[in-house]
Amino acid sequence: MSEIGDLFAKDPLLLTKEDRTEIIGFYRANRDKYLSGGKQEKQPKAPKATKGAGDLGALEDLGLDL
Amino acid sequence: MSTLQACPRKYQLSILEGWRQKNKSRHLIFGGHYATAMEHFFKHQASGMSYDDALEAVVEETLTATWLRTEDDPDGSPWDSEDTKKSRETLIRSIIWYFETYRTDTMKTVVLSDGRPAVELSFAFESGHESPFANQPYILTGHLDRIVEFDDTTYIMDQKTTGGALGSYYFSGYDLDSQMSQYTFAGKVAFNLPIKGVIIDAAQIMVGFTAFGRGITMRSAGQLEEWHESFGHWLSLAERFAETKYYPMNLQSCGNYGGCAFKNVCNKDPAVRNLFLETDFEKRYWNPLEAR
Repeated sequence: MSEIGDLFAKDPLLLTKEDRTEIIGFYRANRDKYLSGGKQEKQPKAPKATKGAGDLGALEDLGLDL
Repeated sequence: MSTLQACPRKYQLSILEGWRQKNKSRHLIFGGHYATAMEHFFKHQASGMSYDDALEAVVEETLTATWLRTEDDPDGSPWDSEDTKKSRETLIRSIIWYFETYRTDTMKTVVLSDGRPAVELSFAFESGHESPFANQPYILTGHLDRIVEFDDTTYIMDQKTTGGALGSYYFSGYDLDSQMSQYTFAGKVAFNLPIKGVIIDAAQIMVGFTAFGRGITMRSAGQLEEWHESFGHWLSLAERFAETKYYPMNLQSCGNYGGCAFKNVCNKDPAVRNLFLETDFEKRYWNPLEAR
């Protein structure tokens, strides 16, 4: 299984259907964890993001209708 | 028209003279990719593609569109927004989360009488107001993201992305929004549909999550009539500015939406303003009659 960051760093023309399915699956699981209030898997950092990109803790409960 | 209403000088520089920032705002780039993914997904689905295939297709398209190749770098590299909130990764996440959130959505895309799904529609029609200069009608043009049916009622749906919270304050801002009145008016006139208003389909983009919310802004027949009359008065004002060749600044608008792009031009001495304009901006004319 690839690291999700590796898939984002790969030329999209070289990504396979399985790679894209893995990205979608990653974010589906990531959303499920967010909605259940659990800790999400670390997301890929944006290039040059030196802080904050991977900090997924202490999310505010916005009280929105999702 | 909303640019003229915000500031006549901004209208002169951006709409009439075509000045655009050399470095396109990351917010515009992010919002553009997000809107394109929405549009393509609904078109894929309307053509018979399954949910999973349509989602994979728009993820592939967006990953490709955000991989930048140049002559110097033919292998390319990922788009770097230099923003942890609106990045390539949060874009892909927001697209996937959006469709997962509304997977069982009861809002359905309207199918137009010619069989096309009502997604990303360009319109252009005579506005009902006439130019005394050209002695011809003003043409009202624009684009609608999508037309949907919900609870036996027809609405325009407009996609928005924001960094702010999606509370009632956010959505109520659209109740007196000229663009939403124009969309409702256009939906009725150009597509001959009984549009009641606009559904704002908003995404709040944060570093660790994307939240979604919907608000409806309705327009009665009386409100649309009032908007149309007001629109005519704004056209008259635009004619007056054109006659006098003078477009005053509206200093009350400079700080709106995080600050006007021309703020650092207008705050300079008039004698050097053009130098600053030519340094940070380039001319790219927008043809309102060009369909997307």
